[in-house]
Amino acid sequence: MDCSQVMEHLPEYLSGTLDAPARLAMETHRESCPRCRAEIHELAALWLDLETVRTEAPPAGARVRFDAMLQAFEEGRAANDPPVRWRSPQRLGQVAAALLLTLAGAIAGYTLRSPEPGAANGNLASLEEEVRALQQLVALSLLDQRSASQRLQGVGWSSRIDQPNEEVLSTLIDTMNHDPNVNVRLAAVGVLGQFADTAIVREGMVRSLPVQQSPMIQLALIDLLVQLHDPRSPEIFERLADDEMADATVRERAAWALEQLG
Amino acid sequence: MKHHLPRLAASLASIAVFAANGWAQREITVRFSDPSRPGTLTASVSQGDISVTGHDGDDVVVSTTNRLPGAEPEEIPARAQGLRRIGSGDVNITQRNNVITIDDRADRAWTRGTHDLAIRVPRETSLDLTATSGDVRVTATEGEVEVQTMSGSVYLNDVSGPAVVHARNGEVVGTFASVTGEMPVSISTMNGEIDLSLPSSADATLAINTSRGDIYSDFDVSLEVRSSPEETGNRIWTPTGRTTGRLLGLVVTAPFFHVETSQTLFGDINDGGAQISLNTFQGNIYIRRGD
Repeated sequence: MDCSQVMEHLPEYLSGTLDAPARLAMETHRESCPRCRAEIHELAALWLDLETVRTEAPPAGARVRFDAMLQAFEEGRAANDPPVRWRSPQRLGQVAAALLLTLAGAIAGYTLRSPEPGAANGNLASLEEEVRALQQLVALSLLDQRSASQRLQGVGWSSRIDQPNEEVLSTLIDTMNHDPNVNVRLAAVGVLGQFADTAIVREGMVRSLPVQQSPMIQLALIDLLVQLHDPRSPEIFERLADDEMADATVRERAAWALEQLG
Repeated sequence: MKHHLPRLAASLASIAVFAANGWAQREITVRFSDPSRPGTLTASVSQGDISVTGHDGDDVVVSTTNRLPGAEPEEIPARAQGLRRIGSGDVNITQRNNVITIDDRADRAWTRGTHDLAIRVPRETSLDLTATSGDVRVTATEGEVEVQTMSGSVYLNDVSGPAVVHARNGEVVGTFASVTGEMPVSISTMNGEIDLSLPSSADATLAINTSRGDIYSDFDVSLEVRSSPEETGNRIWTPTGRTTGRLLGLVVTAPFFHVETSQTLFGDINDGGAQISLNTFQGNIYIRRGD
């Protein structure tokens, strides 16, 4: 194997898909050729870098940078005082995402403010549909972030969607039940309250109360369920009011809720 | 020899202090694998306080104080001369993908007494702190702050990142150096109070929910129920509970502030902007004009 063949097979070699004889030939050549050895070494390092990029890449932080960019734009100083450090090439994907969001925001703003939504023509309707799809995408991706403040933003986004699809609602219900952060769960309860006219949401809230551990969430759910007058609520309130493991305030509130429905 | 004397005297003095308290203190220095970008610090203690302070260096300096009565004062072994401590059996410190994780070995904590953690971090570090029975203090950081406590209180001083704080039974006292953009601040406590200080020029939108607490502020802000999408950007499902009047600090503009079941109240500070949501069940909420 000569130098040019080594270069040709390098990608397969690095990804481990090169067959054994070729691999052996390549390694034999590598030992005798310092130039190829250096090249392989350098590319292997790059390869490893790329792997880290893939695991830590966007959309984490895309929203943050989008906000920073939008703010800079609004203040009219994006060009001479960029608030974001655009140092590495992997940020390019985030820039693209940010531009997409800007566009979505602009279209959403335009359609929501249009004085006569009833007069919207077919184009506008399909545009609205696209905006909703985009909003749902943004909400779902934010709800999936590691950082609690980003998940909170995801909850905020989902509250802006006019008629969120089942995926968004189920994700919100999942967030209400399983998010590690109490405040994120609490925000999810609040947003789900807005969509309480949906069967899946009601069902989710009724099922959620008995399994919630945090008193803050239990209280918020009790308050919502009282207002919903769901026929399944009294039994749940009664059980919670009698539950000696539950927080005293929660038990008291559950008893109060039972009275309200009685 | 001469210039070693002050250091020697200092270490003797500190050993004397520890011996008097029966406290053992250890300092461990670690670094983020990639100091060129902001790292994340995750710390969790079952018994003890966590205190995090931002500093200008790249190091993360973890100081643990073991408050076990009668604990032996710490002596640095002679063989450690010229080395820095990078780990300890008392606390687990691990790092992965620029995330440093510290926990106090909850499985052993009850036999080893209380561990307080005092940590110095680069200012931009994001924090994720959990304390079960102790307090959490964060001072002079600019990254994201996430805190959860069970019975302890949370004190944020001179922070400027987004903050998500829950103290179930403790209070939350926060002084923000700035609030910006849409990065949210979210604070909740079930039985404690919230005492928040914002820059007087802050553009922020408050969203407050309290069942039994009162709300006080010296900002020129009035709270209202927002129900149309134009007002909130959100669809608000309006509850039908009975309404009663409620005194709200300095501004009382409408009688329908307080509904039997709690309801979220909104208010703009200055031009509105950064989302600040505050939730309590029993406790009062104080929002102060800072510098």
